[in-house]
Amino acid sequence: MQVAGVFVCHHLLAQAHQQVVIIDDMGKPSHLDIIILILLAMLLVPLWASLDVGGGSMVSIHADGGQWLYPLDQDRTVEVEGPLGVTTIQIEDGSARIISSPCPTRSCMRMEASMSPESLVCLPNRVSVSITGGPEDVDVIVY
Amino acid sequence: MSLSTEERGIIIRLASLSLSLSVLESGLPHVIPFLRLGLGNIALLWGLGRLPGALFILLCALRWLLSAFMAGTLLSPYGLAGLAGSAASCLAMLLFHRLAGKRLSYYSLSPLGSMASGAAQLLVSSLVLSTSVMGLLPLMLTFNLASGLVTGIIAAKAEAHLVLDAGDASTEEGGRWTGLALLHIPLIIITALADKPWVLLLLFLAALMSCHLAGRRIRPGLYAVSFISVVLFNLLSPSGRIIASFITEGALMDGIRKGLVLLSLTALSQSFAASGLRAGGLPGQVLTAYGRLNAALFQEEGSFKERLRRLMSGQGQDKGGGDRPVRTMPRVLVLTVAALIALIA
Repeated sequence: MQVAGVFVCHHLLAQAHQQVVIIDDMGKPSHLDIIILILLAMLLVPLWASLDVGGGSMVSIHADGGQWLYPLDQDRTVEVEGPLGVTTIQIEDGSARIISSPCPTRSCMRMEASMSPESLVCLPNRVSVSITGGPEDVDVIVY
Repeated sequence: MSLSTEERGIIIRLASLSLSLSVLESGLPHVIPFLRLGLGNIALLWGLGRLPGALFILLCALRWLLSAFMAGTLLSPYGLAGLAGSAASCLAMLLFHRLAGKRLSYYSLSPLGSMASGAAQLLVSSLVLSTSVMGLLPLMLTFNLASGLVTGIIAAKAEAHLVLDAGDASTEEGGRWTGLALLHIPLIIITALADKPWVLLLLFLAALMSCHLAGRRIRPGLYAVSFISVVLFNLLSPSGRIIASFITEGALMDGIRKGLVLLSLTALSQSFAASGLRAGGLPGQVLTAYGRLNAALFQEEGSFKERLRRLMSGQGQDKGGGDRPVRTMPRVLVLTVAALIALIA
């Protein structure tokens, strides 16, 4: 058994040694070519797998005047008009907040939304802000 | 860097052959704008084993410069993406060739160069146009692996037919810079800085007018495809008020603006190419040799196989002559007026 093992080992070594053949002609494929081609093809697999079809998280704003959509990862301030006046939404550091609101209680300004399906609602001024897309591995959210 | 006569001959022969192969390829249908077979790379591959590293880079640089100049994309974002692609491909092939010596053949060097070129082109396009262009990376690299393998196989099979010594190509033409050509440089800077759509549209129309006056063929298809694809790519990253299903106001305006910048720069670059610059020295010699090869390919009689044989052996008659700049004054006027209006706006 051991003898057979040694024989196999020796045979593999001999094969490995044979693979390093330096050819003169760049027009003939070598073993190294095949290895490089296989590596290049393998490089494509994670690339296709990482292809982000849905894109990142988006901030979706609904108001009387229509719907607005902004990427969550770009900082900006958005003003939308409601029946009571202007509601100002700030997108900063990956989360959205309402920073000024014409409504009486201003309860909408106490929260922030940073991942799907969190949302901010200002009922009196009829403005809603929700996060869509992005990672969706949340099982349940309890308020 | 001093060139021996032999090295100079090899560079002229391979650079002109590469340009001719690209022309041959442009006759094949283009399915998607970004994806190309890259037949021109075949001639560069043949340079790998024949030239020292620095001269191989010179060969690649000459090929990029002249092809961008003749296609009229030298001063446009396409030229920039092409430069990044050529440089990445050149360096990748050279690096692997130097590391592995002759253990690596065209079969793997060609896909390596082709994939490096594709990745670099997309990277530059994503900086200039829209980050969503990077979504094309897997498709582009897969295509380039396959196309690189195809061109590598052709390079391996066809090398036996290559004749390097194609007689002298010593016709030198003097360099000639005209004021008209120089006028394009401030215009390009103005275009890159402009952000009002109507100013960009004006610059685009002025550049088209200049191309038309110069008698250069205007390809509406090229402009339409460029503009539409830039707008579409920008719509893929939504921003702003939703106008219709996936169209947002911010992304649409941004796309239109970037699309107009691309159109203006492309048209200006085309107009620049029609400004009567003549190349001297090595580039001039490559262009002369290239003119001969094109004559061998397209103007002389013979079957397709016969034409290819002439291309590989470097035979062909120089038809001579070149395009002289025409109607220079109206073109200078149109471009200057557009530049002034853009500056005031």
